[in-house]
Amino acid sequence: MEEWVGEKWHNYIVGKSKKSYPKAKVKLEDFKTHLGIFFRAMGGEKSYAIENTSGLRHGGYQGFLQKIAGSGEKTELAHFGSEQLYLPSELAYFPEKQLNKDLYIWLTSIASIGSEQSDESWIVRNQKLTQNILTQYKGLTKKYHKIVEAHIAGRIPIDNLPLDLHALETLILDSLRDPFKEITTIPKSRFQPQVVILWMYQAPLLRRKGKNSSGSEAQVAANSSANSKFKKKYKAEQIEANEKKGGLMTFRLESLFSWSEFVNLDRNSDDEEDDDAIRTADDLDHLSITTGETSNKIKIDLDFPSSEYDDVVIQSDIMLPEWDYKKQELLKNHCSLFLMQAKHENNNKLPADIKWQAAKLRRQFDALRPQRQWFNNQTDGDEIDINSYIAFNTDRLIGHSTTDPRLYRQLRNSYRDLSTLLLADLSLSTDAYATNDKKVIDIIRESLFLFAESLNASGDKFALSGFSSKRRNHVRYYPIKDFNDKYDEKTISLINAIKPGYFTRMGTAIRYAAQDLAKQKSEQKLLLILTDGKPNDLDKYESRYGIEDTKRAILEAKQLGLEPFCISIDQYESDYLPYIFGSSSYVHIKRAEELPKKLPLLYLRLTGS
Amino acid sequence: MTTFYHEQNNEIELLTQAWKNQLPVLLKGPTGCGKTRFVQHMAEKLGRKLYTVACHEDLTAADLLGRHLIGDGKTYWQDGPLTKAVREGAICYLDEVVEARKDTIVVLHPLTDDRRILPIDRTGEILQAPPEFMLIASYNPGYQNLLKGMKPSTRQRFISMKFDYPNIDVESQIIQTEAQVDAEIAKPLAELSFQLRQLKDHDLEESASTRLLIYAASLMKSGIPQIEACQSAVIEPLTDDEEVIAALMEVVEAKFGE
Repeated sequence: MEEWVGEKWHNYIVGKSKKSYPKAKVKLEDFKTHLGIFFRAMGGEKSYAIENTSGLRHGGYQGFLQKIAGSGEKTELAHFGSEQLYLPSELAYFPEKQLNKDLYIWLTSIASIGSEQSDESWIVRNQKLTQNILTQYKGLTKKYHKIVEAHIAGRIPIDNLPLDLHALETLILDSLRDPFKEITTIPKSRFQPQVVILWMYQAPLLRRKGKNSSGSEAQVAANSSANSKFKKKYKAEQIEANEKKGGLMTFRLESLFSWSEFVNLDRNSDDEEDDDAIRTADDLDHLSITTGETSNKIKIDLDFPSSEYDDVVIQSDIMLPEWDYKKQELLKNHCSLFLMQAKHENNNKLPADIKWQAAKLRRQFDALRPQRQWFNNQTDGDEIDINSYIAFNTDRLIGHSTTDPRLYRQLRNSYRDLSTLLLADLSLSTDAYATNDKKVIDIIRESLFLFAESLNASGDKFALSGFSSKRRNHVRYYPIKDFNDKYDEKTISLINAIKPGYFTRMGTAIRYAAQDLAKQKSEQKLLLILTDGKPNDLDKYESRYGIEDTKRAILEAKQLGLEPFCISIDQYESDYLPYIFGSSSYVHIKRAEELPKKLPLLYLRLTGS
Repeated sequence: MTTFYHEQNNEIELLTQAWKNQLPVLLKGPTGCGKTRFVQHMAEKLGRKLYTVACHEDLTAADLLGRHLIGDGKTYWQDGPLTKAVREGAICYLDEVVEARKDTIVVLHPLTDDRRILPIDRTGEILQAPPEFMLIASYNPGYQNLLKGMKPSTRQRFISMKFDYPNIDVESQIIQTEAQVDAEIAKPLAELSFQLRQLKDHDLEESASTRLLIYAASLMKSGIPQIEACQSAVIEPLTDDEEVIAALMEVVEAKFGE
């Protein structure tokens, strides 16, 4: 009973204190893509993703009822994260739907030019943003003033505010009503002003805490932004360097042993040893950082699961060469490749959220199915080809007669003489999150599905496979669908079963895939490589060595008459891609989540159908 | 009066010198950035006749060289555009040359080296190109198609000139001159297109061309409301995706709304 009353009271008082119009509610969810394109079109940084924000504890002034209800402490305000633009998950401030929608548009427009941090005061900063947008976009003026009036109507009237806050509130109101009015001084006040929902949230509302105490994510982000290359968001925790207890090393003895297993490897060809730790860290999803100084480098190895849990080996020890750029020589039988099959349960369902997309693509690709069409210029056929006949007669009249005239036209099935092999990178790095709820591996899985659905509908010949590696003696190659296999329930459950593996010895996998594809009898053979990063492995297969070997493997594939093409979802624009694949044989997709949708269309573009 | 063209980087001088030195030229650049207009302008400037061939997949060698026609029980030889251009010492412009099949393009090879000859098998002639003759080809490197594309052996026969969309000020001037509108219309259009070009390869496959902007300006000039003109001349031609259109219209409204 007490609980019931409490709940009723809470709902009542929150409803009473919070001005909102549920009927006019606009959800970000329905509006996200729209705002994303708008944000980028307005000049916003392309790498930002638009996400929901949770309520921020802003410390702004609240009315009496709000204080009682505790509902005003947190408000969803627009602000930037390290890689996201956060917008309120829903807006219901205003009684009209259109107005709430316009508020989204407004917030996105000022965000499009306001991503840079600034030391200016919250008010001055937002006023500047507003001025800029209104000067550049005259069309927003009307909308802006409408929102302002509606917002001011919803603010606690100035007479109900403590006297101390009057000057500041007046300034805010003036600035809202006439954003071009110059601000000379900002009056001081004991209280924080009420929040302004039209403005970007910037910390001054909340006093910044001296030392960053709440988790180290911000810290890591700040540190890493110094070097844009390391912008990746590591799931990191800060650990105090604990000298007394010997620290973390003593507890990791077993991994040290496994490291010593390959210490005696010839590493003299290593180029940039200092990068190793960073590169290995890239492959980990959890990183512990000490704040103390350390000169040691930690190298981490991964163990295979016991054979009981590991995937099934179909064929082992397929020997393949590798290119050593230092010696400028192709090392024969240098790598050992295992054909593997993932242990799969009978999960033959497409993931729910791509079903609709799959159906759409199936329809689209179905139209590309080979059709019966007329072929002109045939030696034999159903009808006379008038053009050939005229040409033949003219040739005859001027004295050029041919003995083998092609004068007929014929109705036949045409077909695209093309085989495509899609090779997907299944290294450990695909275990990282690409968006809030999807890992890279999920995106690769969806891409494989949509690609397979599309090509299956159009009747094109295709194969799917994946790879990962652990040093040269163990490259794992997963044939998911062979050219002769049907795209059926088994294929679907195999795609469902793909999971992050180990490292990326790309050259070896490409060599095997190329051999496989070259066996096809089609006139044109397309080798699509889907990857999320550079070639790398635990031994010397990294940086230049890996890139050179991969480049070599691509060259060999071209010599076999294949058309290699790379689709990269690497987080950073990568200069190594044109080097490996050639300037026109790769595409870099910046926002990985778009890959599943884009891949089939890319295929169409590449094959020009 | 010569066709209007606004120079971006010394391309007029470069092409003039290429013409004087009898070098073939390849123009690279995105759709609607002014390649064809540039060629027109230069042909007039150099006082040569211009033969333009829009290349496509079914373009055969005979379409370029010429063919026999029949009439009154006789056959007549009809020169193709390339042959005509060689005979008359004109400029032959092959638009979107990658669209043509590779075996068709091979007929250009003897014309593009120091021999500068055009053998015509059908008539048994071998034409020697006069010094005034010039071959210009253009293509759009923007869209990748693995199965099409220029053979390196063809590409290496041309001097290449790169074109891109002009910057906001220049583009605004071009719009003003072409559509006969004033800066008040031209400037925001140029700014809009600059922003839309940021979306290339991201939300849009192609970016808004200068040509589309001129269309939009012309529509505005003849009384179509600005937002409507932008929608039909700039936004709709770029994409069929409803969601993208809606978002881009938001930008247009922000730019041109009341």
